[in-house]
Amino acid sequence: MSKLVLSVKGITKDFPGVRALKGVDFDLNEGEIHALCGENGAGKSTLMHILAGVFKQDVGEILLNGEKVSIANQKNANELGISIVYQERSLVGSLNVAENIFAARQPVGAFSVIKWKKLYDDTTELLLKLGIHIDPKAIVDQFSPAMQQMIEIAKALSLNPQVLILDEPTATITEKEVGLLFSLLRKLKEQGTAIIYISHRLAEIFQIADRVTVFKDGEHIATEEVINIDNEWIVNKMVGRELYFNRVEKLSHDEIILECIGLNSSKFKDINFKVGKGEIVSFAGLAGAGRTEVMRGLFGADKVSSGEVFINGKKVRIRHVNDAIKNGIGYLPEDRKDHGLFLEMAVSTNIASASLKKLSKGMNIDNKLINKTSETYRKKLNIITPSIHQKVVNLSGGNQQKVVLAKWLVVNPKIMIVDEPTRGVDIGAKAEIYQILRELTKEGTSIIVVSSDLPEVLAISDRIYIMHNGEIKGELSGDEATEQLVMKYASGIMN
Amino acid sequence: MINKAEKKSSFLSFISTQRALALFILITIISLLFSFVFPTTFGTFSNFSIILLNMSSEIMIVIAITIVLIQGEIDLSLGSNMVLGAILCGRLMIVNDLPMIFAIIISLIVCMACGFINGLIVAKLNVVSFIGTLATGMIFLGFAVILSGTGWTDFPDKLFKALGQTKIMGIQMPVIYMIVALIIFAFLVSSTRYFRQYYYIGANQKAAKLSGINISKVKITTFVIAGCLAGIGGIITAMRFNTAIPNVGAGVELRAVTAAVIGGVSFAGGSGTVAGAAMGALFIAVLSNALTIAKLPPDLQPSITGVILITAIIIDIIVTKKNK
Amino acid sequence: MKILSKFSMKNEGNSKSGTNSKRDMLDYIAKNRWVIPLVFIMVYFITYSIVFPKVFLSSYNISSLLLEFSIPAIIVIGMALQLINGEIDLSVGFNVMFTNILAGTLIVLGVPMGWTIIIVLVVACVLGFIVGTLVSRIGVNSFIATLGMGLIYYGLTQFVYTSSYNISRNGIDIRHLPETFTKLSKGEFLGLQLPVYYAAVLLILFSILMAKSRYFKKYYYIGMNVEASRLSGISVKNMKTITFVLSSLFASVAGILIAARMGASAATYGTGWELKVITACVIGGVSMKGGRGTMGGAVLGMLFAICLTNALRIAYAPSNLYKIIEGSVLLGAVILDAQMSKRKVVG
Repeated sequence: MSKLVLSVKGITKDFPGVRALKGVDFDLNEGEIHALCGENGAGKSTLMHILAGVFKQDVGEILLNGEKVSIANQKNANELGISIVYQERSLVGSLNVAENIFAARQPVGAFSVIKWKKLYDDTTELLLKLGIHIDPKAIVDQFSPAMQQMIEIAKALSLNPQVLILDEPTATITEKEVGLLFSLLRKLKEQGTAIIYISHRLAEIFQIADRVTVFKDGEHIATEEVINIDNEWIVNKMVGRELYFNRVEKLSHDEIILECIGLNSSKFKDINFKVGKGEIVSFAGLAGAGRTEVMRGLFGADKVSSGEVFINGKKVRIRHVNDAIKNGIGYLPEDRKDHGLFLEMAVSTNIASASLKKLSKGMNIDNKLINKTSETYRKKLNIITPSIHQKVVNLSGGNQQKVVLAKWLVVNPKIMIVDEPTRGVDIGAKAEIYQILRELTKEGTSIIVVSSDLPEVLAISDRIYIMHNGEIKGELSGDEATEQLVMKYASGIMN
Repeated sequence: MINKAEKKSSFLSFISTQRALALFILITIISLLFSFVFPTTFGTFSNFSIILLNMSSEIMIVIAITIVLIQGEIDLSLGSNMVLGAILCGRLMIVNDLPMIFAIIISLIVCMACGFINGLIVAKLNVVSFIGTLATGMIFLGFAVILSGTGWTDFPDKLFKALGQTKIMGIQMPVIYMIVALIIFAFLVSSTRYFRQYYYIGANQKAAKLSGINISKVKITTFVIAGCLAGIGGIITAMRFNTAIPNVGAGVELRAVTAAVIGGVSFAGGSGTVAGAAMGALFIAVLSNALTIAKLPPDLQPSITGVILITAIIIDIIVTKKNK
Repeated sequence: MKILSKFSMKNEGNSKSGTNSKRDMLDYIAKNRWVIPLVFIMVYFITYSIVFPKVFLSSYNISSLLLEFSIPAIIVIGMALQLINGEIDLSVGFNVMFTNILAGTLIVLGVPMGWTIIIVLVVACVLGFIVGTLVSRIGVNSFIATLGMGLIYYGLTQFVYTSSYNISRNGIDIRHLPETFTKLSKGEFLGLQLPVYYAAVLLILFSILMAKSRYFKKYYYIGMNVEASRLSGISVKNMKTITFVLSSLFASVAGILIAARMGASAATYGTGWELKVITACVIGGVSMKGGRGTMGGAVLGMLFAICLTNALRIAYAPSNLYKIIEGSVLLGAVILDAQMSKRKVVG
């Protein structure tokens, strides 16, 4: 029987406005690869952060090898034998492999002089053990993202952890390179390392994992041995909730306002879709499916290598953001803090940021008009803020999102792309945002929604395109779509 | 079969990643060429010792700025700090009759204190290092000028002058100090865990913190070391000329940055070596000397340096983009 | 007084207890940092009018103070714009030197004044455009790009100066330029020299533009967040290139005026001006991080620096005090700037 290495019991974690984990349990055996599955916001990241020492749980206990432990911080987690590999790279490109793996922990002699031979020997030994055949003296910069991922994993392993947590390890590597990763993981298994493999790529889970745990909405739903289940099982566990939004009445849309044919780039392939006037079309899929990339390409923010875009039947060339805006396209970015808002500027300044021409008197900014407009939208969208001169950074997530929304409402585009419109937004604000979107469509605006929130997609969409791995895998009408169906397309198990 | 494009890119890669070596090769080629064409004027021992001697006055600043740049910061107070060190040392010896050794020690302590102030401002008060050190530099220079009177010269301790002006086998002492300092710091920065921390901080401060590095402490210490180096540089210059006046070549820090960047130190932090920066400084020195001897208008040398600086950074950008 | 009433108007709804109003005052100053140099200047004017009325209030002193202020002030316009949009221009001082010598040389070679001015301005624009392209399209850091460009200017300056010196031996003297040209800078109107008026016009024009114009408002957005600006439809690359053209242009205007004033004899006049101008901007409230500050503030910062020199000179104070005082004020200003991000309201 496998030895139980890690046991997590009744973990609850709250953040302002949301309960991220609701009394979850999780356990991990020696030499096991245990996949942790769930949609965005299901709580997998939060649990992982708690184990890694970034957060502390509010309720519940963690047992390592049968003993209760308290993980004070990241360093403590490492000392306890828990190592994590995040999605973001932490490597220093200009240093070599050895110095990255043993970052700030190079073996030293007197006066902090590095023992190079020992460093390289230790590195070589580790790399051999892991079956990674690279030169420890090679500079990290020159390696592909996949190999850098391996180096990152080697770095985590150099601490000799009992538990290795991998957060979406294949997000940045191609399918070919996944093979490399898996042979490494199998080696680790043999050596007794326990691995938590966080991913929503179902195909991979069946290739590599021993057990699967599914989280949904902060709760532990089920745990099973992989040999006992199939794709459908996982999909069904991941979704299938009480939809708390009722289906909204659909308007008929005959006029095609936007048509994209054969869009291609390094991140997506052969994208074809249509949007009708006053229609809400959603792009569903899992993180990394390429939806944001398509929208950014359409908006002129990223390069599109080939393809055609037709607006109102006329072909348009969109090479820069300005072209898109002139042609009536607006875009609410996925990352509202870094891409959508000017955090240290006032609400009113933000609301004006994409419509300066409209809000001017001739060549000059009309501050009165900006203030008036901002006040109007503050009331209309119910933006909660002491004043429109408040710095946006002080507003809550939902209200920040409303500010970005207001910004684009002022522009009044024909086609509004909203990317993860309610991410990090509380329930009350969510409903308000949906209401605003619906009203826009009544006025004839078409909306493209990119969302990983299935209930949301099902509640508000007239039509749904589902993407997987950079391609559109399915198209469903709002009526015929179900969570399971969408998830199947999104997981790539249905064509 | 390596095609032409790959060959070209690996050449550029070489220049980018092995900057010290590439520059050294370039310097050797230029030196050999010019020695061949101008055997009596360029290719002489005395000419090379002059090149090295002139380099020695600002080399300490080059080393100091390199370690600061690797961390992703900059220090524009180094020139003032250097002058302050020299003047204080001179004043202590002449006005306060202090023995040379004490004057030097006290001056260096003051320089390190100045560096400490810089460190506090940047690490604890979160001030952008460019403008913070610009401000402190002004203050340090002001104090240096106040302390300088009409300048200090003719120091009582003859050993002081000897330390700066003696020649060993035709090489003047400051050159020897320069070589020693370069060897020490090239070693420290490339081979001690303590100094390697700078690279982690410069490349990714968040990740560095997660690796257990105490960012504030390291940053403050760096500014202190830089201040100390500046002070040493100032005192060596005072020894060499037997004079201490508040006449620092305005912009010595920017000249040092130029040498460092040509030598492969990234302005954004996280890469570059002391050896590279030294080669950068040597390259500029040799090229200037060679072009002067070749009767190229010496006035145009800064322009050539400027072109080289921009070329160097464009090469680095091209190589970085290729890697992506 | 006006300032106090401004301060109390911002105090909406807060309790007027002692500790709170001190915090509010710091709040106000942090938000409007141009107040600092303004206070200094006002104190200076009032004090010196009382203590040194004959020297300070003499028309000679006032006009020379304004003159000394006017030429660097023109450069402040370009630098403030650069800092606000998140870049820096270290070539400004060398640019001034170069355009100075270029203008002088052209005049001496017989090129008509009008053409000289046009040629110098065009050359400056072209070089500014090159640097702008390096920064905005190739991605070279503006610090390094302008540092490199500055060196190029420096070398060219020295070269032209030496060559023209050689030419001057053959009868053409670059140090004495025709009066039609020097009148540009030395001419007077109502007791003040002409550059004061040029500066006044440019400063007022650009202060208004920066505050009101839609085009210049965009630079604040760029300085705050480049990517968000791009995604809001602001043409970041083009606009950044233009800032380099403008800052080069302003520097060249200053260079021409200096040439006219001093007959191009001061080949090193202008060294270190970039740091001088940056200091003025930061003291006046322009943040090194970008997105914050006003042209008016930057101008006040420059005026403060000039007044400080003037003050020390009149009082026969040791001139080395200047560095210490200015350095301390700058330091205070940047520390305040760093703390400013903690303030909640933008106003």
